[in-house]
Amino acid sequence: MAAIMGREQVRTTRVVPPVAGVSDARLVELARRGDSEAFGDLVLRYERRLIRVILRFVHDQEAARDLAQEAFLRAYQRLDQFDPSRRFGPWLFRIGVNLTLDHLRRRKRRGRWALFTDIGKDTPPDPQIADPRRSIDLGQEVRAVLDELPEKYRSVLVLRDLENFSTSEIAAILDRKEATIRWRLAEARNRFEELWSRRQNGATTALISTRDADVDDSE
Amino acid sequence: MSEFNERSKRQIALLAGDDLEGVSAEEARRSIEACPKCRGHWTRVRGCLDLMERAGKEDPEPADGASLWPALEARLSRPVVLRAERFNGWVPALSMAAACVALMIAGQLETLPPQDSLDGGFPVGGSAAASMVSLARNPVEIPEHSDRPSAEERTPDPFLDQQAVRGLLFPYEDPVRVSPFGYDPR
Repeated sequence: MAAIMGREQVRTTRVVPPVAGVSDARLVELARRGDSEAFGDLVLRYERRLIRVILRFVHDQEAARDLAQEAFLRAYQRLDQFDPSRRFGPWLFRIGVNLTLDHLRRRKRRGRWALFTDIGKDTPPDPQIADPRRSIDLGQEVRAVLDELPEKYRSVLVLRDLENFSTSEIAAILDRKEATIRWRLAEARNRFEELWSRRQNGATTALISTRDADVDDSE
Repeated sequence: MSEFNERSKRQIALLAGDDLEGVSAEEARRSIEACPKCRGHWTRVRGCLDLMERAGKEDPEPADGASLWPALEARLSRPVVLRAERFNGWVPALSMAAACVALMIAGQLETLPPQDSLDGGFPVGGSAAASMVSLARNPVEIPEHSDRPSAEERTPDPFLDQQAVRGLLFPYEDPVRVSPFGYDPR
């Protein structure tokens, strides 16, 4: 029990991994009684996974760390609202995912505004430099398609197919019924497939027309 | 289910990610075997899931930086301002707005001309309030009539005085008549 035994040695840097034997429920109980070190164990237990999940949405290490820290802080402040009969993990991820989605919505709104205010700041493409779109990797392609999906489908797809949460866990994280999550998951996969196929067909068409243009130029 | 429709598409999408069990899974498997369109859809969705899996592995992992805990611990040690203790600026703002609205309405009523009255001279609506306001500001002097006793002769009638005051305050309830021109002690 990290919260009870050997605290004095751990206090200096607090980067010692949490003791595996203690359940989340026990640590939550201790944290609710004011033992912030017990909460520290929960942080060490979940921080890496939480940052990784947030990173799937924001694609920015610093932002992901900040959001994860904010999620832990909110979880600590709302520990009295936590239902001890439920699991701590999904509850924490719910806070983290909600914060992340709020962050993305704010960023999107700012982006729309910037669209009108930053007109003319882009420099025209330099013909000497190769088109960077050709070097876009698979990850970016997939991310671009995911970004085209509505938020409710994207969240489910990221949590299930990139983070491997079960549908029941996703239901707890997103605070929806499992049947709703399964329906959204099926819809999300079908929409992703449709968008991906369209994108690939578009890319093929563009490639063929580029080749035709190259042939015309050489003639 | 051997035809390709929305339902079969959804079931196939779930089956592709091993998210379908029992009878539904069997049904979806049969349709994949029997229906070429279903098989095509299953192959495409399965391909997309493989793609996402590969892309997921390419995504950057969290940087091996310091734990969040030290910074978090410092923030936790700060006193938390509870919701109830926070200053709520809405209450005074809304009170002020309500007071302004009430004043505006009173001002409007004062400028309204006397309207039709009920029961031969009993003012209604804005005219009632307007007459009350003007009455309060400019007390009407009741002309002395020859057939009425003078002020000295008159016996004080506390009930009538109370009625008059009440009439000023509650014009709709009181039997004391109030006309647009002032108090009428009939």
